[in-house]
Amino acid sequence: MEMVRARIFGGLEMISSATFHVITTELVVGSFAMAGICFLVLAIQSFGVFESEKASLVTDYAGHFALGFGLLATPFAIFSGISSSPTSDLSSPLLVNKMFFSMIATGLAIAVLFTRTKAGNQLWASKPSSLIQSAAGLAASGFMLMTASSGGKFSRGESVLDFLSLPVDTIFLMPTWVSAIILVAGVVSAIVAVINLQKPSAVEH
Amino acid sequence: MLAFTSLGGANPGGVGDGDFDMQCGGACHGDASQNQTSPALLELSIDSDVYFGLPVSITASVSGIQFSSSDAIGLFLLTDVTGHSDLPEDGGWKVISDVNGGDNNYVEIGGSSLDEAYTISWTLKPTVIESTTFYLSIHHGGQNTPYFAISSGLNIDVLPVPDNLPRLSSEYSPIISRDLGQQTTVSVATSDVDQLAIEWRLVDRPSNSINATLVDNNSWEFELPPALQPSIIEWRAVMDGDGPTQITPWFRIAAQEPALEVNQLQVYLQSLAFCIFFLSLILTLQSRYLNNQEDLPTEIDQTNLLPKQENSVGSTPPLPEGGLPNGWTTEQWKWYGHEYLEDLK
Repeated sequence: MEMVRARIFGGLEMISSATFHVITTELVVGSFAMAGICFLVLAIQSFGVFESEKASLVTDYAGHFALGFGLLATPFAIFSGISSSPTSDLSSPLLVNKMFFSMIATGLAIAVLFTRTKAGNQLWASKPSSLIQSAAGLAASGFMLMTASSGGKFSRGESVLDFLSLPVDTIFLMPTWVSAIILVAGVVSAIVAVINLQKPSAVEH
Repeated sequence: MLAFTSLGGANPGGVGDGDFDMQCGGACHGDASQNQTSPALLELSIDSDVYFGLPVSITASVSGIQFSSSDAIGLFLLTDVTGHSDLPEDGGWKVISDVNGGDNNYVEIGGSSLDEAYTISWTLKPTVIESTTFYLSIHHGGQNTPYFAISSGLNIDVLPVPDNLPRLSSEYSPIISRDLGQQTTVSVATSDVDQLAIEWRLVDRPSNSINATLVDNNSWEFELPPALQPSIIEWRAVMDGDGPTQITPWFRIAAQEPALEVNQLQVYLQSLAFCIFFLSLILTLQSRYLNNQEDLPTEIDQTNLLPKQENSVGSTPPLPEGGLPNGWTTEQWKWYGHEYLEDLK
Protein backbone atom coordinates (compact mmCIF):
# COMPACT_ATOMS: atom_id res chain seq x y z
CA MET A 1 0.00 0.00 0.00
CA GLU A 2 1.39 3.26 -1.11
CA MET A 3 0.49 6.09 1.19
CA VAL A 4 1.92 9.36 2.15
CA ARG A 5 3.69 9.09 5.46
CA ALA A 6 4.45 11.98 7.68
CA ARG A 7 8.03 11.92 8.84
CA ILE A 8 8.62 13.71 12.04
CA PHE A 9 11.69 14.05 14.17
CA GLY A 10 14.48 12.84 11.94
CA GLY A 11 13.01 10.03 9.97
CA LEU A 12 10.90 8.38 12.64
CA GLU A 13 7.99 7.01 10.68
CA MET A 14 4.71 8.13 12.16
CA ILE A 15 1.06 7.96 11.25
CA SER A 16 -0.28 9.18 7.93
CA SER A 17 -1.05 12.87 7.60
CA ALA A 18 -4.74 12.04 7.08
CA THR A 19 -4.93 10.27 10.45
CA PHE A 20 -2.95 13.04 12.10
CA HIS A 21 -5.41 15.52 10.62
CA VAL A 22 -8.33 13.61 12.16
CA ILE A 23 -6.65 13.67 15.58
CA THR A 24 -5.85 17.37 15.48
CA THR A 25 -9.23 18.41 14.10
CA GLU A 26 -10.99 16.49 16.84
CA LEU A 27 -8.88 18.30 19.41
CA VAL A 28 -9.55 21.66 17.79
CA VAL A 29 -13.27 21.20 17.29
CA GLY A 30 -13.79 19.75 20.75
CA SER A 31 -11.90 22.58 22.41
CA PHE A 32 -13.58 25.31 20.41
CA ALA A 33 -17.00 23.78 20.98
CA MET A 34 -16.44 23.80 24.73
CA ALA A 35 -15.13 27.36 24.54
CA GLY A 36 -18.21 28.33 22.55
CA ILE A 37 -20.53 27.03 25.25
CA CYS A 38 -18.60 28.93 27.92
CA PHE A 39 -18.64 32.18 25.93
CA LEU A 40 -22.34 31.72 25.31
CA VAL A 41 -22.93 31.58 29.06
CA LEU A 42 -20.71 34.64 29.54
CA ALA A 43 -22.61 36.51 26.83
CA ILE A 44 -25.91 35.69 28.48
CA GLN A 45 -24.56 36.96 31.78
CA SER A 46 -23.28 40.09 30.08
CA PHE A 47 -26.82 40.87 29.00
CA GLY A 48 -27.90 40.41 32.57
CA VAL A 49 -30.32 37.57 31.86
CA PHE A 50 -28.98 35.81 34.91
CA GLU A 51 -26.09 36.37 37.24
CA SER A 52 -24.01 33.77 38.97
CA GLU A 53 -20.58 34.55 40.29
CA LYS A 54 -19.64 30.88 40.29
CA ALA A 55 -20.83 30.28 36.73
CA SER A 56 -19.05 33.41 35.60
CA LEU A 57 -15.82 32.31 37.20
CA VAL A 58 -15.95 28.77 35.83
CA THR A 59 -16.94 29.72 32.28
CA ASP A 60 -14.36 32.50 32.21
CA TYR A 61 -11.46 30.19 33.05
CA ALA A 62 -12.76 27.12 31.19
CA GLY A 63 -13.67 29.07 28.06
CA HIS A 64 -10.35 30.80 27.74
CA PHE A 65 -8.40 27.65 28.55
CA ALA A 66 -10.33 25.62 25.96
CA LEU A 67 -9.87 28.39 23.42
CA GLY A 68 -6.13 28.46 24.08
CA PHE A 69 -5.81 24.71 23.80
CA GLY A 70 -7.76 24.66 20.55
CA LEU A 71 -5.64 27.49 19.26
CA LEU A 72 -2.47 25.50 19.93
CA ALA A 73 -3.79 22.56 17.93
CA THR A 74 -5.08 24.69 15.04
CA PRO A 75 -1.80 25.06 13.08
CA PHE A 76 -1.30 21.30 13.17
CA ALA A 77 -4.82 20.79 11.87
CA ILE A 78 -4.37 23.33 9.07
CA PHE A 79 -1.08 22.00 7.76
CA SER A 80 -1.93 18.31 8.16
CA GLY A 81 -5.17 19.06 6.33
CA ILE A 82 -3.34 20.58 3.42
CA SER A 83 -0.89 17.69 3.18
CA SER A 84 -3.63 15.06 3.45
CA SER A 85 -5.62 16.58 0.60
CA PRO A 86 -5.51 14.23 -2.42
CA THR A 87 -3.64 16.80 -4.47
CA SER A 88 -1.91 18.46 -1.52
CA ASP A 89 -3.10 21.86 -2.64
CA LEU A 90 -6.20 24.03 -2.68
CA SER A 91 -8.05 22.15 -5.40
CA SER A 92 -11.57 22.82 -4.17
CA PRO A 93 -13.53 25.92 -3.10
CA LEU A 94 -14.33 24.06 0.11
CA LEU A 95 -10.65 23.85 0.98
CA VAL A 96 -10.13 27.54 0.25
CA ASN A 97 -13.08 28.49 2.45
CA LYS A 98 -11.79 26.15 5.16
CA MET A 99 -8.55 28.08 5.14
CA PHE A 100 -10.41 31.40 5.43
CA PHE A 101 -12.68 30.21 8.23
CA SER A 102 -9.88 28.69 10.26
CA MET A 103 -7.68 31.78 9.97
CA ILE A 104 -10.54 34.09 10.96
CA ALA A 105 -11.19 31.87 13.97
CA THR A 106 -7.49 31.94 14.78
CA GLY A 107 -7.35 35.74 14.67
CA LEU A 108 -10.41 36.08 16.86
CA ALA A 109 -9.12 33.54 19.36
CA ILE A 110 -5.72 35.22 19.62
CA ALA A 111 -7.41 38.58 20.24
CA VAL A 112 -9.69 37.12 22.89
CA LEU A 113 -6.85 35.43 24.73
CA PHE A 114 -4.58 38.45 24.51
CA THR A 115 -7.24 40.79 25.82
CA ARG A 116 -8.10 38.44 28.67
CA THR A 117 -4.43 38.16 29.62
CA LYS A 118 -3.81 41.90 29.56
CA ALA A 119 -7.06 43.14 31.05
CA GLY A 120 -7.61 40.41 33.59
CA ASN A 121 -10.85 40.36 35.53
CA GLN A 122 -11.33 44.05 34.79
CA LEU A 123 -12.55 42.87 31.39
CA TRP A 124 -15.86 41.85 32.91
CA ALA A 125 -16.31 45.10 34.84
CA SER A 126 -17.99 46.90 31.96
CA LYS A 127 -20.78 45.72 29.75
CA PRO A 128 -19.27 46.74 26.37
CA SER A 129 -15.95 45.03 26.92
CA SER A 130 -17.54 41.88 28.31
CA LEU A 131 -19.95 41.76 25.39
CA ILE A 132 -17.14 42.18 22.88
CA GLN A 133 -15.12 39.47 24.60
CA SER A 134 -18.03 37.05 24.68
CA ALA A 135 -19.06 37.78 21.11
CA ALA A 136 -15.51 37.39 19.81
CA GLY A 137 -15.11 34.08 21.64
CA LEU A 138 -18.43 32.86 20.28
CA ALA A 139 -17.50 33.98 16.77
CA ALA A 140 -14.15 32.17 17.00
CA SER A 141 -15.97 28.99 17.98
CA GLY A 142 -18.54 29.46 15.25
CA PHE A 143 -15.96 29.96 12.52
CA MET A 144 -14.05 26.91 13.70
CA LEU A 145 -17.20 24.81 13.61
CA MET A 146 -17.85 26.09 10.09
CA THR A 147 -14.33 24.99 9.22
CA ALA A 148 -15.06 21.51 10.49
CA SER A 149 -18.36 21.51 8.65
CA SER A 150 -16.62 22.37 5.39
CA GLY A 151 -14.20 19.52 6.01
CA GLY A 152 -17.05 17.09 6.46
CA LYS A 153 -18.67 18.41 3.31
CA PHE A 154 -15.43 17.90 1.41
CA SER A 155 -14.69 14.38 2.62
CA ARG A 156 -18.17 12.91 3.01
CA GLY A 157 -20.34 15.17 0.88
CA GLU A 158 -22.60 16.11 3.75
CA SER A 159 -22.54 18.19 6.89
CA VAL A 160 -24.87 18.89 9.78
CA LEU A 161 -24.77 22.57 8.79
CA ASP A 162 -26.15 21.81 5.33
CA PHE A 163 -29.53 23.16 6.41
CA LEU A 164 -27.96 26.62 6.62
CA SER A 165 -27.10 26.48 2.90
CA LEU A 166 -23.81 28.23 3.44
CA PRO A 167 -22.17 29.27 0.17
CA VAL A 168 -19.06 27.19 0.79
CA ASP A 169 -18.83 26.27 -2.90
CA THR A 170 -18.16 29.90 -3.76
CA ILE A 171 -14.91 31.69 -3.12
CA PHE A 172 -14.62 35.31 -2.11
CA LEU A 173 -11.12 36.01 -3.36
CA MET A 174 -9.73 39.52 -3.20
CA PRO A 175 -6.92 40.88 -5.36
CA THR A 176 -3.53 40.44 -3.78
CA TRP A 177 -3.01 44.17 -3.33
CA VAL A 178 -6.25 44.48 -1.37
CA SER A 179 -5.18 41.65 0.92
CA ALA A 180 -1.81 43.32 1.36
CA ILE A 181 -3.43 46.65 2.31
CA ILE A 182 -5.74 44.95 4.80
CA LEU A 183 -2.82 43.03 6.21
CA VAL A 184 -0.67 46.12 6.70
CA ALA A 185 -3.54 48.16 8.11
CA GLY A 186 -4.45 45.33 10.41
CA VAL A 187 -0.91 44.97 11.69
CA VAL A 188 -0.66 48.70 12.38
CA SER A 189 -4.03 48.75 14.11
CA ALA A 190 -3.12 45.72 16.16
CA ILE A 191 0.15 47.29 17.29
CA VAL A 192 -1.61 50.51 18.30
CA ALA A 193 -4.27 48.56 20.15
CA VAL A 194 -1.69 46.44 21.92
CA ILE A 195 0.19 49.57 23.02
CA ASN A 196 -3.04 51.03 24.35
CA LEU A 197 -3.89 47.83 26.15
CA GLN A 198 -0.45 47.72 27.70
CA LYS A 199 -0.86 51.15 29.27
CA PRO A 200 -1.08 50.50 32.99
CA SER A 201 -3.93 52.95 33.34
CA ALA A 202 -6.01 50.99 30.93
CA VAL A 203 -5.92 47.64 32.55
CA GLU A 204 -4.59 47.88 36.04
CA HIS A 205 -6.79 49.10 38.78
CA MET B 1 -28.53 18.54 15.72
CA LEU B 2 -29.27 14.97 16.75
CA ALA B 3 -32.57 15.33 14.93
CA PHE B 4 -30.70 15.65 11.65
CA THR B 5 -28.85 12.35 12.05
CA SER B 6 -30.05 8.85 11.49
CA LEU B 7 -29.77 6.38 14.31
CA GLY B 8 -28.10 3.71 12.22
CA GLY B 9 -24.53 2.57 12.61
CA ALA B 10 -23.91 2.90 8.88
CA ASN B 11 -22.76 6.08 7.20
CA PRO B 12 -25.63 6.76 4.77
CA GLY B 13 -23.70 9.39 2.86
CA GLY B 14 -20.80 7.06 2.18
CA VAL B 15 -17.20 8.12 2.49
CA GLY B 16 -16.30 8.44 -1.17
CA ASP B 17 -14.14 6.18 -3.28
CA GLY B 18 -10.69 5.45 -1.99
CA ASP B 19 -8.11 2.86 -1.05
CA PHE B 20 -9.63 1.20 2.00
CA ASP B 21 -9.16 -2.03 3.88
CA MET B 22 -11.99 -4.46 4.56
CA GLN B 23 -13.49 -2.38 7.38
CA CYS B 24 -12.92 0.90 5.60
CA GLY B 25 -10.60 2.03 8.38
CA GLY B 26 -13.70 2.28 10.56
CA ALA B 27 -14.92 5.16 8.42
CA CYS B 28 -17.86 3.48 6.66
CA HIS B 29 -19.49 1.74 9.60
CA GLY B 30 -18.70 3.15 12.97
CA ASP B 31 -18.36 -0.18 14.75
CA ALA B 32 -17.67 -3.35 12.80
CA SER B 33 -19.12 -5.42 15.62
CA GLN B 34 -22.55 -3.96 14.85
CA ASN B 35 -22.49 -5.25 11.27
CA GLN B 36 -25.22 -7.63 10.23
CA THR B 37 -24.57 -10.20 7.52
CA SER B 38 -25.65 -8.86 4.17
CA PRO B 39 -27.94 -11.05 2.05
CA ALA B 40 -26.02 -9.96 -1.05
CA LEU B 41 -24.73 -12.60 -3.43
CA LEU B 42 -21.18 -11.69 -4.38
CA GLU B 43 -19.05 -13.22 -7.08
CA LEU B 44 -15.74 -12.41 -8.72
CA SER B 45 -14.71 -13.65 -12.14
CA ILE B 46 -12.01 -13.23 -14.73
CA ASP B 47 -12.27 -14.20 -18.38
CA SER B 48 -8.71 -14.41 -19.63
CA ASP B 49 -5.26 -15.56 -18.72
CA VAL B 50 -3.24 -13.18 -16.62
CA TYR B 51 0.28 -12.28 -17.66
CA PHE B 52 2.88 -10.48 -15.65
CA GLY B 53 2.72 -6.71 -16.19
CA LEU B 54 -0.33 -6.81 -18.47
CA PRO B 55 -3.70 -5.33 -17.53
CA VAL B 56 -6.59 -7.59 -16.82
CA SER B 57 -10.20 -7.00 -15.90
CA ILE B 58 -11.74 -8.54 -12.78
CA THR B 59 -15.52 -8.53 -12.83
CA ALA B 60 -17.70 -8.37 -9.74
CA SER B 61 -21.35 -9.41 -9.67
CA VAL B 62 -23.70 -8.27 -6.93
CA SER B 63 -27.32 -9.28 -6.46
CA GLY B 64 -29.92 -10.03 -3.87
CA ILE B 65 -30.05 -6.76 -1.94
CA GLN B 66 -33.12 -4.69 -1.25
CA PHE B 67 -32.48 -0.97 -0.96
CA SER B 68 -34.31 2.18 -0.45
CA SER B 69 -33.60 4.61 -3.26
CA SER B 70 -31.36 6.79 -1.09
CA ASP B 71 -28.98 4.04 -0.06
CA ALA B 72 -25.54 3.48 -1.49
CA ILE B 73 -23.27 0.48 -1.31
CA GLY B 74 -19.54 0.26 -1.00
CA LEU B 75 -17.66 -2.49 -2.80
CA PHE B 76 -14.13 -3.52 -1.96
CA LEU B 77 -11.68 -5.53 -4.04
CA LEU B 78 -9.37 -7.19 -1.52
CA THR B 79 -6.54 -9.68 -1.44
CA ASP B 80 -6.95 -10.78 2.17
CA VAL B 81 -9.69 -11.14 4.79
CA THR B 82 -7.72 -10.35 7.91
CA GLY B 83 -8.69 -6.69 7.79
CA HIS B 84 -5.22 -5.28 7.25
CA SER B 85 -2.68 -5.31 4.42
CA ASP B 86 -5.51 -6.44 2.21
CA LEU B 87 -5.37 -3.97 -0.66
CA PRO B 88 -4.50 -5.18 -4.16
CA GLU B 89 -1.24 -3.27 -3.82
CA ASP B 90 -0.40 -5.41 -0.81
CA GLY B 91 -0.81 -8.50 -2.99
CA GLY B 92 1.41 -7.17 -5.77
CA TRP B 93 -1.30 -5.73 -7.99
CA LYS B 94 -1.85 -2.19 -9.23
CA VAL B 95 -5.38 -0.87 -9.75
CA ILE B 96 -5.45 0.93 -13.10
CA SER B 97 -9.08 1.94 -13.21
CA ASP B 98 -12.36 1.32 -11.45
CA VAL B 99 -16.00 1.62 -12.39
CA ASN B 100 -16.25 5.25 -11.30
CA GLY B 101 -13.30 6.42 -13.35
CA GLY B 102 -10.81 6.38 -10.49
CA ASP B 103 -8.09 3.93 -9.52
CA ASN B 104 -9.34 2.78 -6.12
CA ASN B 105 -10.05 -0.63 -4.61
CA TYR B 106 -13.17 0.79 -2.89
CA VAL B 107 -16.00 2.24 -4.95
CA GLU B 108 -19.45 3.47 -4.03
CA ILE B 109 -22.49 2.86 -6.18
CA GLY B 110 -26.01 4.18 -5.92
CA GLY B 111 -28.27 1.53 -4.43
CA SER B 112 -31.31 2.36 -6.50
CA SER B 113 -29.85 0.53 -9.48
CA LEU B 114 -29.30 -2.66 -7.52
CA ASP B 115 -32.73 -4.15 -7.72
CA GLU B 116 -31.34 -6.80 -9.99
CA ALA B 117 -27.94 -8.31 -10.60
CA TYR B 118 -25.35 -5.63 -11.14
CA THR B 119 -21.89 -5.98 -12.60
CA ILE B 120 -18.85 -3.79 -12.20
CA SER B 121 -15.19 -4.32 -12.98
CA TRP B 122 -11.74 -3.24 -11.98
CA THR B 123 -8.79 -3.16 -14.33
CA LEU B 124 -5.59 -4.22 -12.62
CA LYS B 125 -2.04 -5.12 -13.48
CA PRO B 126 0.06 -7.75 -11.64
CA THR B 127 3.50 -6.57 -10.63
CA VAL B 128 4.78 -9.91 -9.33
CA ILE B 129 4.59 -13.45 -10.68
CA GLU B 130 2.70 -15.31 -8.01
CA SER B 131 -0.78 -16.52 -7.17
CA THR B 132 -3.18 -14.13 -5.52
CA THR B 133 -6.63 -14.72 -4.08
CA PHE B 134 -9.09 -11.90 -4.55
CA TYR B 135 -12.22 -11.22 -2.51
CA LEU B 136 -15.19 -8.95 -3.06
CA SER B 137 -16.56 -7.29 0.07
CA ILE B 138 -19.64 -5.16 0.45
CA HIS B 139 -20.76 -2.53 2.97
CA HIS B 140 -24.25 -1.15 2.88
CA GLY B 141 -27.08 -0.07 5.12
CA GLY B 142 -30.74 -0.82 5.38
CA GLN B 143 -33.38 -0.12 8.02
CA ASN B 144 -30.79 1.75 10.08
CA THR B 145 -28.56 -1.31 10.25
CA PRO B 146 -25.06 -1.66 8.79
CA TYR B 147 -24.54 -4.74 6.65
CA PHE B 148 -21.36 -6.47 5.61
CA ALA B 149 -20.49 -9.48 3.47
CA ILE B 150 -17.49 -10.95 1.71
CA SER B 151 -17.31 -13.29 -1.25
CA SER B 152 -15.45 -16.55 -1.58
CA GLY B 153 -11.95 -16.21 -2.97
CA LEU B 154 -11.00 -16.06 -6.63
CA ASN B 155 -7.52 -17.46 -7.12
CA ILE B 156 -5.53 -15.93 -9.96
CA ASP B 157 -2.23 -17.30 -11.21
CA VAL B 158 0.06 -14.80 -12.86
CA LEU B 159 1.95 -16.25 -15.82
CA PRO B 160 5.14 -15.06 -17.47
CA VAL B 161 4.59 -13.26 -20.75
CA PRO B 162 4.99 -15.61 -23.76
CA ASP B 163 7.45 -14.65 -26.48
CA ASN B 164 6.14 -12.41 -29.26
CA LEU B 165 2.81 -11.86 -27.51
CA PRO B 166 1.35 -8.57 -28.76
CA ARG B 167 0.87 -6.59 -25.59
CA LEU B 168 0.94 -3.28 -23.86
CA SER B 169 4.26 -2.23 -22.42
CA SER B 170 4.61 -3.36 -18.80
CA GLU B 171 5.40 0.23 -17.81
CA TYR B 172 2.33 1.64 -19.55
CA SER B 173 -0.34 3.30 -17.41
CA PRO B 174 -3.33 4.75 -19.26
CA ILE B 175 -4.80 8.10 -18.31
CA ILE B 176 -7.97 7.81 -16.22
CA SER B 177 -9.30 11.36 -16.19
CA ARG B 178 -9.56 14.45 -18.34
CA ASP B 179 -11.20 17.86 -18.20
CA LEU B 180 -14.51 18.68 -19.79
CA GLY B 181 -14.31 19.97 -23.34
CA GLN B 182 -10.79 18.69 -23.78
CA GLN B 183 -9.83 16.93 -27.01
CA THR B 184 -7.84 14.01 -25.66
CA THR B 185 -4.86 12.42 -27.32
CA VAL B 186 -4.16 9.05 -25.75
CA SER B 187 -0.71 7.55 -26.01
CA VAL B 188 -0.25 3.79 -26.00
CA ALA B 189 3.07 2.01 -25.46
CA THR B 190 3.24 -1.56 -26.78
CA SER B 191 5.58 -4.46 -27.37
CA ASP B 192 5.57 -6.84 -30.34
CA VAL B 193 2.62 -5.06 -31.94
CA ASP B 194 2.41 -4.46 -35.69
CA GLN B 195 -1.04 -2.96 -35.87
CA LEU B 196 -3.16 -1.32 -33.23
CA ALA B 197 -6.90 -0.76 -33.48
CA ILE B 198 -8.89 1.08 -30.84
CA GLU B 199 -12.49 0.55 -29.80
CA TRP B 200 -14.10 3.26 -27.68
CA ARG B 201 -17.60 3.79 -26.35
CA LEU B 202 -19.64 5.60 -23.79
CA VAL B 203 -20.65 3.30 -20.94
CA ASP B 204 -23.29 0.80 -22.09
CA ARG B 205 -23.35 2.30 -25.59
CA PRO B 206 -22.25 0.80 -28.94
CA SER B 207 -18.54 0.99 -29.59
CA ASN B 208 -16.67 2.82 -32.37
CA SER B 209 -13.45 1.64 -33.99
CA ILE B 210 -10.49 3.73 -35.05
CA ASN B 211 -6.91 2.96 -35.97
CA ALA B 212 -4.14 4.25 -33.76
CA THR B 213 -1.28 6.13 -35.39
CA LEU B 214 2.23 4.83 -34.96
CA VAL B 215 4.23 7.72 -33.56
CA ASP B 216 7.50 6.03 -32.80
CA ASN B 217 8.82 2.57 -32.29
CA ASN B 218 6.18 0.78 -30.15
CA SER B 219 4.48 4.10 -29.41
CA TRP B 220 0.98 4.84 -30.71
CA GLU B 221 -1.56 7.61 -30.40
CA PHE B 222 -5.26 8.04 -30.96
CA GLU B 223 -7.76 10.77 -30.23
CA LEU B 224 -10.97 10.75 -28.23
CA PRO B 225 -13.71 13.35 -28.76
CA PRO B 226 -14.20 15.98 -26.04
CA ALA B 227 -16.87 15.42 -23.40
CA LEU B 228 -19.41 18.18 -22.89
CA GLN B 229 -20.62 16.96 -19.49
CA PRO B 230 -19.23 14.73 -16.75
CA SER B 231 -19.16 11.22 -18.18
CA ILE B 232 -17.02 8.15 -18.56
CA ILE B 233 -15.64 6.90 -21.83
CA GLU B 234 -14.20 3.42 -22.27
CA TRP B 235 -11.57 2.23 -24.71
CA ARG B 236 -9.62 -0.91 -25.43
CA ALA B 237 -6.87 -1.88 -27.81
CA VAL B 238 -6.88 -4.72 -30.33
CA MET B 239 -3.26 -5.68 -30.92
CA ASP B 240 -2.00 -7.64 -33.90
CA GLY B 241 1.51 -9.01 -34.24
CA ASP B 242 3.44 -12.21 -34.77
CA GLY B 243 1.69 -13.82 -31.82
CA PRO B 244 -2.06 -14.33 -31.37
CA THR B 245 -4.24 -11.22 -31.49
CA GLN B 246 -4.76 -9.73 -28.06
CA ILE B 247 -7.52 -7.48 -26.73
CA THR B 248 -6.96 -5.39 -23.65
CA PRO B 249 -9.59 -4.86 -20.94
CA TRP B 250 -11.76 -1.78 -21.19
CA PHE B 251 -9.98 1.23 -19.76
CA ARG B 252 -12.05 4.06 -18.38
CA ILE B 253 -11.46 7.78 -18.69
CA ALA B 254 -13.64 10.06 -16.58
CA ALA B 255 -14.41 13.54 -17.87
CA GLN B 256 -14.88 15.95 -15.02
CA GLU B 257 -14.94 19.62 -14.19
CA PRO B 258 -11.45 21.10 -14.25
CA ALA B 259 -9.90 21.31 -10.81
CA LEU B 260 -9.98 24.69 -9.17
CA GLU B 261 -6.95 26.74 -10.11
CA VAL B 262 -6.15 29.56 -7.74
CA ASN B 263 -3.03 31.42 -6.88
CA GLN B 264 -2.13 29.78 -3.59
CA LEU B 265 -0.09 32.78 -2.47
CA GLN B 266 -3.18 34.92 -2.99
CA VAL B 267 -5.28 32.58 -0.85
CA TYR B 268 -2.71 32.37 1.93
CA LEU B 269 -2.23 36.15 1.93
CA GLN B 270 -5.96 36.74 2.14
CA SER B 271 -6.25 34.18 4.94
CA LEU B 272 -3.56 35.97 6.88
CA ALA B 273 -5.21 39.32 6.14
CA PHE B 274 -8.51 38.01 7.53
CA CYS B 275 -6.74 36.70 10.62
CA ILE B 276 -4.97 40.00 11.32
CA PHE B 277 -8.05 42.06 10.47
CA PHE B 278 -10.29 40.33 12.98
CA LEU B 279 -7.52 40.23 15.55
CA SER B 280 -6.92 43.98 15.26
CA LEU B 281 -10.67 44.66 15.21
CA ILE B 282 -11.21 42.99 18.57
CA LEU B 283 -8.07 44.46 20.11
CA THR B 284 -8.99 47.95 18.94
CA LEU B 285 -12.52 47.73 20.28
CA GLN B 286 -11.36 46.34 23.59
CA SER B 287 -8.58 48.88 24.01
CA ARG B 288 -11.07 51.65 23.33
CA TYR B 289 -13.68 50.46 25.79
CA LEU B 290 -11.16 49.50 28.44
CA ASN B 291 -9.53 52.93 28.16
CA ASN B 292 -12.90 54.65 28.28
CA GLN B 293 -13.71 52.64 31.33
CA GLU B 294 -10.62 54.12 32.97
CA ASP B 295 -11.23 57.61 31.62
CA LEU B 296 -14.78 57.78 32.90
CA PRO B 297 -13.97 58.04 36.62
CA THR B 298 -11.21 60.50 35.80
CA GLU B 299 -13.63 62.80 34.05
CA ILE B 300 -16.17 62.83 36.84
CA ASP B 301 -13.69 62.75 39.70
CA GLN B 302 -13.39 66.45 40.68
CA THR B 303 -12.21 65.87 44.17
CA ASN B 304 -8.97 67.69 43.36
CA LEU B 305 -11.03 70.85 42.92
CA LEU B 306 -12.38 70.64 46.44
CA PRO B 307 -10.60 72.52 49.23
CA LYS B 308 -8.21 70.30 51.00
CA GLN B 309 -10.29 70.04 54.09
CA GLU B 310 -8.42 67.07 55.31
CA ASN B 311 -5.29 69.12 55.77
CA SER B 312 -7.14 71.96 57.45
CA VAL B 313 -9.22 69.63 59.56
CA GLY B 314 -6.77 66.90 60.14
CA SER B 315 -4.01 69.12 61.50
CA THR B 316 -4.70 70.57 64.93
CA PRO B 317 -4.54 74.40 64.94
CA PRO B 318 -2.03 75.97 67.29
CA LEU B 319 -3.39 76.85 70.74
CA PRO B 320 -3.79 80.57 71.55
CA GLU B 321 -1.86 82.24 74.37
CA GLY B 322 -3.29 81.09 77.63
CA GLY B 323 -4.05 77.69 76.37
CA LEU B 324 -7.33 76.11 75.46
CA PRO B 325 -10.22 78.60 75.64
CA ASN B 326 -12.69 78.10 78.39
CA GLY B 327 -15.39 75.59 77.64
CA TRP B 328 -13.43 73.97 74.76
CA THR B 329 -12.37 70.42 74.75
CA THR B 330 -9.30 69.18 72.90
CA GLU B 331 -11.44 67.37 70.38
CA GLN B 332 -13.51 70.48 69.68
CA TRP B 333 -10.30 72.49 69.24
CA LYS B 334 -8.95 69.97 66.82
CA TRP B 335 -11.95 70.31 64.50
CA TYR B 336 -13.13 73.91 65.07
CA GLY B 337 -10.10 75.66 66.48
CA HIS B 338 -9.21 77.24 63.16
CA GLU B 339 -12.61 78.98 63.10
CA TYR B 340 -11.90 80.41 66.57
CA LEU B 341 -8.57 81.72 65.37
CA GLU B 342 -10.22 83.25 62.31
CA ASP B 343 -12.71 85.08 64.54
CA LEU B 344 -9.89 86.49 66.65
CA LYS B 345 -8.33 87.93 63.53
